Order: sequence, then C-alpha cells, then structure tokens
Amino acid sequence: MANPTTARLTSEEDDIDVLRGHLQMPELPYVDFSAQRARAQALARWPLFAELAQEPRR
Amino acid sequence: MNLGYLRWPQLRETARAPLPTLWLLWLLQAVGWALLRLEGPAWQALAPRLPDAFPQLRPYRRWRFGDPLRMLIQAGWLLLVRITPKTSARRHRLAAARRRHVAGLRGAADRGWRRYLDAMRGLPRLVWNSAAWQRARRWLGGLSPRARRWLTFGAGLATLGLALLCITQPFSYFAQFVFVLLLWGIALLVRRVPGRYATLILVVLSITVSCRYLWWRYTATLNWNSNFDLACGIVLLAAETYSWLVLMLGYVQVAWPLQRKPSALPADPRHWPTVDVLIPTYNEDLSLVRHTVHAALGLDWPADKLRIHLLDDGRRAEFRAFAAQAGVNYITRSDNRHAKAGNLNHALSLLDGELVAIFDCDHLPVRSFLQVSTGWFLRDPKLALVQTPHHFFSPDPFERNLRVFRRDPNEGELFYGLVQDGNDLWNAAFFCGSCAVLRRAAIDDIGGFATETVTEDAHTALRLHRNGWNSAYLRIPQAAGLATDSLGAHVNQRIRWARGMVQIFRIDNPLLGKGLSLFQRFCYANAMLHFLAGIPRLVFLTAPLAFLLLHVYIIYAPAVAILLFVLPHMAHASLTNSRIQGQWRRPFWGEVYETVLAWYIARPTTVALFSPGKGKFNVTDKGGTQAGDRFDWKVAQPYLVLALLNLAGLVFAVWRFLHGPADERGTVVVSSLWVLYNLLIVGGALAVAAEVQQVRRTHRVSQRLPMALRLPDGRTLRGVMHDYSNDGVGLELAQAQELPAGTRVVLLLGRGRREFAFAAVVQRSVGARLGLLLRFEDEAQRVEFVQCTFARADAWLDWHAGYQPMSLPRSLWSVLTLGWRGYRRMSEFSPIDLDRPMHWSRRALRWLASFAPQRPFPSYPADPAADPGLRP
Amino acid sequence: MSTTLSLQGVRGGVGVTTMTAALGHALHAQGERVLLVEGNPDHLLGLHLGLPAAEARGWARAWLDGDDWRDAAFEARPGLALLPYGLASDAEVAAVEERLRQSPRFWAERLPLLAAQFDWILFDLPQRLDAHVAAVNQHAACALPLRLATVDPGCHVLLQRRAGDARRVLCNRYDPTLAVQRDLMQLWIDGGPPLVPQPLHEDASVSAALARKLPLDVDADGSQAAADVASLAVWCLAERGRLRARQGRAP
Repeated sequence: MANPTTARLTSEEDDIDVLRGHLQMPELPYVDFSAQRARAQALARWPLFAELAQEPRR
Repeated sequence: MNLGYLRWPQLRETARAPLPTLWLLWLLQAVGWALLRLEGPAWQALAPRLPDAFPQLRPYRRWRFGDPLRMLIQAGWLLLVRITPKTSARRHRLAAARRRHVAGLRGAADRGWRRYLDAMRGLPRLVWNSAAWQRARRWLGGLSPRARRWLTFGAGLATLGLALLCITQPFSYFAQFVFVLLLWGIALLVRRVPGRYATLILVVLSITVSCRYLWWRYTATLNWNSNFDLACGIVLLAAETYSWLVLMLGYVQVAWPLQRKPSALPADPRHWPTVDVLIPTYNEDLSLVRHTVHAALGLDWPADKLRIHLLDDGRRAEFRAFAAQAGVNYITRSDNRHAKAGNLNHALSLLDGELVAIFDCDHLPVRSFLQVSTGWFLRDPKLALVQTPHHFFSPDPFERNLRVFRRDPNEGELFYGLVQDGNDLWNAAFFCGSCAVLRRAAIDDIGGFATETVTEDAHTALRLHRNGWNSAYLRIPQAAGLATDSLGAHVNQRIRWARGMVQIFRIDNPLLGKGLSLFQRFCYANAMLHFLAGIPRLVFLTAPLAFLLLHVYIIYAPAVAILLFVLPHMAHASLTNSRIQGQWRRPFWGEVYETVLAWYIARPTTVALFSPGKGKFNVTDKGGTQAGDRFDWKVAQPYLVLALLNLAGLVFAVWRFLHGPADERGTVVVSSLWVLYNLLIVGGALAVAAEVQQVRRTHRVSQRLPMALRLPDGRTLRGVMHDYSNDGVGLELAQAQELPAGTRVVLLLGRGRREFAFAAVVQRSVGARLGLLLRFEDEAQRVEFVQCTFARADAWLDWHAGYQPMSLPRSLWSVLTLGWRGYRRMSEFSPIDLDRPMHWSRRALRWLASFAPQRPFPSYPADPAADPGLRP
Repeated sequence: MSTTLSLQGVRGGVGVTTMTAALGHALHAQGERVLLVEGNPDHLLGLHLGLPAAEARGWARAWLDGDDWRDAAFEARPGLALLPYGLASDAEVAAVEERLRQSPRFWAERLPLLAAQFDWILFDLPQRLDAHVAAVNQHAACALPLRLATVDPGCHVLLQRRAGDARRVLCNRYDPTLAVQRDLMQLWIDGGPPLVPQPLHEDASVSAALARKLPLDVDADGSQAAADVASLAVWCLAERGRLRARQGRAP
C-alpha cells in the first residue's frame, strides 16, 4: 500500500467528542443543532419521510 | 602491484601531472629510493595497500600541484597514527572488555539518571500522600481562624525578614559564589519536580537572586566620580529596573494559571440566552468576510435565539446583496466616527440580544463556540466578558520568514496561552477585540464601547472591571483567523497597540482610580508596561558600547563581580520563565520579538506617554502577496545601524584588549561577549526582515482528515486530505492514481457519522497527491464545506501536536544561529554583490582543508595473519 | 470457539452475497479462520471466491442427494473455506425448506463440529424462506445477526414496518453524493433502526473486482469499499470481544 491510512471516512466519534476528550470533560452536554437542522430539512424535502416520521411505530 | 623505480619517461606516462609536479615527484622518488630500502620485502609487502592508504590520490585523476605535499602529510600521519585493527586476539579481547565496561557504566549512569527523574517526578505525590503532611493538614484545619491569621502573619513577617537578609547582605566574592551555586543547585533539583508548587519554588529562587542583583546594582555599581559615567549608569540602571519590574509583575501574573473549563448550559435550550453575533468590517474584501459569515451560520445555537449581523462601515452594495442572499442582517451607518468602536456602538443601538459575540471579519468561529463559552454567563450574573484565544491558521511574519510555522509556538501564544490565563485568576482577563462574548447589560452599564483610545478593547474591559463586572478567559481555541501579512503590517499593528495601551495608562491609569482590586491593577499595569519595552531594549542593545567606544564605566564593578551577579540573575530568570512558559514560548525567543519591535514602538509610546492624543505613526507597508523574496530594507534600517555600531564596538574591544590597562581586560571580555550576544539578537531581527515569497492568495491550513474521492467511472478511492483552504484541498490517496488535470471528481468528507459531497476539479496530480479546486453549487454547499473544515469543533485543538520541547541550551543555540542566518540572508539581498568574494573564500577554505590527512580506505587482506599493518 | 455471523437482506438485491464474501475476505486478512456458508438458494457465493461458475455441489445439494454435507466444502485459501448451497430447482428448494422446518436444529447440530477449525462462520441468508433463516438465527444461536439494507425509501419503509426486529442494520451502497441518501442516512442516524457504525459506500470497484474474479482487497486496495469492509471486519472483532466479555461477566 502506498499510504496506510487507518482513519475511516466516518467514525462514531465526531468533532464534539474530540472536543470533550481534549477538555477532559466527557460529560459536557452538547445539543447538535446542525444535525437537528439537517433532519428538519430532510423531512421538509421528502414528503415520504415526513409521512413515515409521523406514523407511530408499530 | 610492485614497488619499482620509475624512470623519467615511465613516470611521465603513469602520472599525468604538470611539469613542476613531475619534477617534484621524481625528486621524491629518488630520495625515497636512495634513503629507504624500498626493494626490501617489508616495503614490497606494503605495496598492495598503498593505493588505499592515500585516498586523496587516485590513479585516474590528474596529479594536482599540491599533491606531493598532501602525500607527505598523509604518510606522516599514517606513520604516527596506527589505523589498522589489531590482529592479536588478546588485544581484541581487551578492547571488547573495555567497550563492555564503558557501555556498562553508561547504562548504569542512564539507569541512575532515569531513577532520579522518576523519583523527582513522583515527589509531589509522595509529599501529598505522606503521613507527616496529613498530620500537618489536620492540625492546620483544626486551628481557629484567628490563630490561622496570626500564623500567616507571623510566617509572612519571618519570610520578609529572611528575604531582606538574603537580598541586602553584602557578600565577599567567594561567599557570593557559594550562595549562587547553592541556589542554582536547588533550582536544578527542583526543575525535575512537576507541579505548580515546584514552579513556585523556582519563582521564589529567581526573585531572591534578581532582587539581590538589583540591590547590588543600586548600592555598589554607580560611578559617583564622573558625572557622565553616572548619567549613563543611571540610564542603564533604569532600563534594568524596568525589566526587573516586568519580571516580578510577570511572575505575579502567571504564577497560577486558572485553566478554566467550560460551564454546562441548562438542558432545555429554551432557557438559553439570545445572542447577537456582530461581524464588523470596513474595507476588507467580500471573499474574506463571506467565510466568516458562513461559519457563523453554522453555529450550534437555537435558531430563534441567534441573530447574525454584518456591520459594514464601507457601505458597499455587494455586501448588502451578500447579506440578503445569506440570510443575515446588514447594518450600516452614515458616518465612520470612532472606527470599530463606533461601528459596534451604532449596531448595539439597534439590537437587544442578551449577549453579544464579536468576531473580526477574518475570524471564523467553530460550531461549538457559543455552547462552550456562554455557560459561565448563566453561572455568574456579574460576568461581563468571556474571551477566547485568537488563533491564527496562517503564519505571522516571524513564522513565515524564519520558517518555524507549526514547529515552534508563535508570538501570540504566550499571551493567549498563558498570560490571559494567569490574568483570569485575578479576574483581570481583558477583551481583545474579537472571539469574545459580552453581556449586553454590562456594555450598556458603562455606556457602550470605549472610544477614547486606539485600543478600545482593553479600555472597555478596564471600564467594565472598574464598574464591578467580572471577566473570564477560556483557553480553548474556538475561532481562527489570518495573521498579519507582512512585517510592515505586523509592526503597524503593534505600534497601534502600544500607543493605545500607553494612552490608557495616561488617561485612565489602572494604578489609580477606584473599582479595581490590587491584583487587577498589577495585571493591567504589566500589560501596559510590556509595551514600554522599546527604550529599555534599545538601551540594552547599546549599553556595552558605552564602555567600549566611550570608556564610560556604566557598571562600576570588576568583571568577576559582574559575572557573579549577572549570570545567576539571567540563568534563574531563563530557567523559571522556560518552566512557566513551557509550550507557549521557546526560551530566548522573546528577545528577538522584542528587538524587532523596539525601535518602532519607542517613539510612539514615549510621545503617547507625554501627550496621549498626539501623533500618527505608521510604517509604509506593501502587504499582500509578493512576487518573490525580498528584504524589507525600510523596516530593517535601524537594526543595520545597531549592528554596525556593535561591530564597531567589537573592533574597539580588540584594540582595548591589546592596548588598554591590564586590569580592565576582564571587563573588555565581558563587554565584548555582551556585544556579541547583541549582534546575534539584532541578526535575528534582520532575519525576520527577509520576507519569504508568498505564493498563494488564500491560506492553506494543514490538517489531516480522512476523505474519499468519487471518480467519473464510479470508483471511490480513499485517502487523506492533508490541507485545505477556502476553495481548494490537497489530498493524498492510498494508491497512486494518475488523473489528468480537469477531471471532474466528487470529494467526500465526513464529520462524525455525517458525510458531505462536494463537486471538484483536479488541478494537479503527482503520484498519489492531488490538488483539487472545489466547485460549489450554492451557498449551502459553501456553508457545509466550512462546517467540515474550518468550523469543526476540534479544528484548532491539536495545533501543538508538532511541538517538541526544547531545552534551554538548545533554544539559546537556535536563537544565536538565527542571528548568523539573518546576516547571511541579508547578504543575499545586499546591493553590493557579495557572491563572488564569498564563493572565492569558500573555495580557498576548501583548498586548505584538502591538505588535511584523510582516513585510508579499509582494505580486507585475504589472510589477516599475513598483514603486518601499515608500519613496515 | 467460533463466532457465528449472519447477514440477511431487508429486501432482495441489496448485495448480501457480495458483502458476505467481502467480509469473509476481510476477516481472513485480519488473520481469522473463516467459513462462509451460503444459506441462499441463488448459489452465487462460490463465484465471489473463485469457484467455477459450473460448480453445482453444495450442502443443500448433498442433503437432497443423501451425501455427506462436509464433502461439499471448498477451501479458497488456507483458513478461508466455503460451503455453497448447491444448484437446486425451485421444488428442491421448497423441499429443503420443509426439511428445515421439520428439523430446525440442522445447523445447531453441525456447527459445533466446525467450531475447532474456524474462528468465524458467516451465513448469507435468503430474503424469504423463514425456516432457512430461523435455523441459523434462532436455533443455531447466531451471535451477530445482521440485516443489510441500501439507503433508499423502499428499505426505509420496510425497516419501519419491521421496527420490532432488533437486529442491527448494515448500510450498503451508500452514496453521499445523492441528496436523498444523505438525508435518509441522517434520519437513520438520528433515530432510526439500530445501525452498524460502519456504512459501506457505493463503489464501482466492487462489481469490477467480482467480474475479475478477484477479492476486493487484492483488486482495488485503495478503494473506499475495501477500506469500509476492512473497518467492518475490525468492528466484528471488537463485537466478538464485547460479547465474550459479557458472557464472561454473566455466570
């Protein structure tokens, strides 16, 4: 292999987790508004997903 | 090969050489055959080894004129120095045993050293866990408050008395020597112990030594005999007192950095405060400001509580259009009174958020900025300010021209990493103009941002403190921007800060007036004193010349005394400061920074000191991108003058050493060492003036992030993005892939479990490395890209990953070599062509060096037993 | 002691067979001894491991013919073995399904015989044929039962309908360049089915490798799909560790 890159494109740890690790505050509460915005935009763009989101889970 | 006598024609054939050399060779040969028994078996056996023994003379090369001499020198050296390995088995055994013994000693020393280091490192834990300390704590805890107060008072009095004794007791030279040796020994022991208390011990030692030095200077080193000497001596003494004061106040300021952590916000976002984000701009390009707006649009804060405002003092239509398109508020005013402070005040009159966050137009906040910094406002109702570091992702002139970007800490890191943290303990952290959040009510309380000085940010913070508000500092880089472009711009910025701080010192003196605690006054005073360093630094750079050129006794003491007092003072200060400053500044580099600015801030600060309102000082600055390397002669002029003066001082030193009185020789030597040090420091300042070419318009940030690349044929390749800028990335694929320039690809970036895709075009491709230009479809994509790169919450946290600790001697050496490099770089740009003389002098040195004997090539005789060595 | 992992598609055509083979190769590359068992009557798993397309033997074929099922195993490499289904007509597949319904402990009885030889036993399960599935997931005590889905509205609806299924979902052929897939993935991450943290990206290298009859890490080592599968293998090893730790703690 030319360059052994062990970093994965997606990982369970995101930048906020790295921040928590750096501050040594694993319990720091954080509300991810950008994810909430993305979710709201997803539901707004695709009516099928909005409809399914409203259905109660069977 | 045989040793045979070569007749003249044969000699001419075998040795290709000019005629005089041939004659010399023939002469040497004749003498050799006449005097030595060259046909004997001993010499003949030597014959095969001879070509290897003379590596300077190779059979295929022409004989040079000096070669016979080289041959003689090499032969003489070989005769005197045995090169061949001993074949005797006994000698081998002895050598091996000796080597093992030495290795064993070294190993033992290494282990001993490691055990010592571990013991020192474990000392704090040992002490805190020891039974004696627990007993002492219990006893102290059991005392009544009154008894404790008396105990503290008594201890303080005893300490003061001891300190006075240590500082003022006159010692003989020997006693002084023993005293400083003891203190230095303690310092060397304590420096291995980690923890704050060990730092405090070092601080106490340094204070003792420095106070003692200053006392000695005041009482024993002024020459009252001559008025001129006295005047010069007092000037130097004033400069030394200034640096002593800054040292002491500095210790107070940073003795115990607070290292504040973020405070958690309440769980329900409905209880979070409203925030107005202000981005003031005046004449900067839209291409610069739009990225800040994009980063602000990505801040993680409830949408109904976040308002972003672009404050445009330039009243430009394209900014208005951009603000409308991006969905942020656009505020402008009809005049430009009071520059940035006026701009902010005008905007505040239209807004009503509870908190105000301010970002300079090139400072991009990360998405977690608000959630990390605003918690403290809810915890402390009297908190008016939370300041975060100004992080720079582009190199400042020092880093760029000295090529230490990302390898060494930059100039600002001492302030943002340590000084403000130390200020925070005393509730004296002040506003720096950007990357901060303020409480609206507090700003209203003091009547808006201060507009009387050019550093309105520090003045505003001072007013807040006077009115009883608190401030906080979080040492977490949550925003980053561009550093100053060129040395000229950098100097201009510092001149403005220096003027502003001294103006505040004059019109709103922190040492006087009410509202500030004692330590707040110290911290502000130190911040302002720091900018008065221009004149003292110039005094230090020219002080030894007073003796060497004018024969003025500025320090009226023998050389021995000077060494005994000055060296410990400097050594302890360096050691303690390097311990305190640790990763925030390399030792001795502060001298270079100060020297570069000294000349330029000397005059503005002096004028501001006497008449705060007057004067406008600026250096002409070209700035922007540069076509090639250039030397900023304008900025470097004063330092050239200083360098020449110091050089003259050196010349005079040599003259004085040879022709002066014998008892002054020591002083001459000490002075010339000082001059040499000054020369190298000035050389360092000159090195900064040699501006390095800036190729790119947009700055690249070097950071490794995993990515994937989707090719037009549907394959997806993985790789690592190793740098990014506003619209381009540089990446390295796992496997080399030749992609022609112009290929359309899709860049996939991840942040946590979210992934983003960006259309891009390949600009260049070399092996596995690619450069891409991103093609954004709309603003939303630009915002997403900023969120993946500049505005990641962890973007600036590991900036220091490449720093390696540097020991004191090594750092001193690097500063001194920097000085030498500065002169060399300057000579590259000099109008006089120094290339030819330097070239010829290099050749001359190489020619001289070629006469030195060289190690013969190793030869491996077929039968070691038959090898008698090179000695016949 | 071997760990059993099963992969069943949420609907047909999501790439279960390809992924099972790729995961088998990746685990083998990590040094594990892997046995791939094809529970899918399509009889395509052998192609991914280099078997000739005409090869008709398999464990179901052997069972129908009354032969020893162990003879139908093939060794692709030392430590990587394959037990294909075998060529069978629809009626024969229905017969096997009926037999498995009668004797659901088919695999539960046979797997212990293989436990000493292999660290991992991977099952690629059919989308229908409940008895085939139950024989592995329920009766053979599969430690890591997984579902495979592509990130599209169809799978989204199906996953919602089967919200009671506790098996984790592995996302295949994920293409972040498409807005609908990006958004759907965001919804799944926020509060959808339990996901395996490593998605497998859409990559033309996968089908190219199959067509060249080469495993993914040999044919396209620098591809994202190869990296994804390698990370998935590492995740599987970590899961095995977690399972063992939990078993160790519980008496």
